[in-house]
Amino acid sequence: MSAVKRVQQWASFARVWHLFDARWQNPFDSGVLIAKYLKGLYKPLYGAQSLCGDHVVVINCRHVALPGNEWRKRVYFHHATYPGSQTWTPAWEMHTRNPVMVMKKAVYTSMHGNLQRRHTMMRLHLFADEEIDPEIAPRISNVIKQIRPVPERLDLMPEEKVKSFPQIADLDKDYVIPELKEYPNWESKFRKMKKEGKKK
Amino acid sequence: MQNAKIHKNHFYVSAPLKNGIGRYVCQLQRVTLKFCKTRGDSKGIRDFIESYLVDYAKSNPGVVVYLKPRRHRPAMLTMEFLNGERHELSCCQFDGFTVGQFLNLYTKCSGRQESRLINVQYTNHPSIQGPWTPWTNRNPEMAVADLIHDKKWREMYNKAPSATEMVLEMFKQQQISNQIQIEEKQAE
Repeated sequence: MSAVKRVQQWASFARVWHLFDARWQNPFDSGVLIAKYLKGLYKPLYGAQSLCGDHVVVINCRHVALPGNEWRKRVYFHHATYPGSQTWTPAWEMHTRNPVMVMKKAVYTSMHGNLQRRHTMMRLHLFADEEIDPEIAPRISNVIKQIRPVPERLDLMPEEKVKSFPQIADLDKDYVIPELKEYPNWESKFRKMKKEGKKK
Repeated sequence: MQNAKIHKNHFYVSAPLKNGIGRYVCQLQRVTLKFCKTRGDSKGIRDFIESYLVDYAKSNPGVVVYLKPRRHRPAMLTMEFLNGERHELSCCQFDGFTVGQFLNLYTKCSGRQESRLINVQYTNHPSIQGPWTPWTNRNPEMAVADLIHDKKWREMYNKAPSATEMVLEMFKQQQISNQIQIEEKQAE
């Protein structure tokens, strides 16, 4: 290969380090997107044997958002090969033990038993919070856009913004603005109501 | 096909040694027709020798033709090429016409080994605008931006405005229109 062609090859097949913020994101949908970048499928010169995969750095894995009641219902199975060693770990427990595992498994499972997924996963770097490894941070040259919108939390909004928010409705002079309270766990309340109903 | 063998013999469309681009040289050096004068297997090749062989030899002066009658031995065609490759073809129970067909085929072959064609297309200019790099069609602001800490790069593409943002926007517009009205009144 001539020097010019060699440089062209280096440029075309340069490995890119992407950043993805998993805050408020569905890990299963994000997993599909991240796997696409890990394999290099977004590149027009993709080839399965071309070694054109990229690195992806996922931050804020701790703040991932599972849909519906997945935190309680989704269960990760593990078998340690000896009898009676099968375990079913719910997502919330997995998350408390290792905040990175839910995201990692989501990416791994999105590849559906592909024989190359162990190799593809090697280029995935997961971090629980905003802090990135000091060796990895300088390499990041692209950001993968999020899939779900991140809402603004009222309790985290600056005070001036909350106070200066325009009045939408005309209120009575006697109207009392209720204080912001935490909403009680309605599911346990619902179960109690059901039980009382059955007893009757 | 085994994965190990896929990459062994493969080639893109090309003329070996650029044969034919300037001058064409027939790559077949010599052909040996081995046959038996009595065996039934060699009937086809015998017919070929009687009818078409002399025409073939005249039309391909670069190819040396040898005849090798061998008693009680099967019919064979042995091709030898200019690059030293040798190929043997059994002509048992062939038709005379079939022998001629194969001979014509090998006359047009180069001595290259049987290999897998990767692509039927060939071009000296695979890219007009330049091959893709990760920096093709890339926002030039990214070169100077703080991608890790600046949150605007992470935001969802075409994020719809939230209810809060919509209300604030409406409030702004209301303020502006009120101001305009006030200014108009003052002008009067």
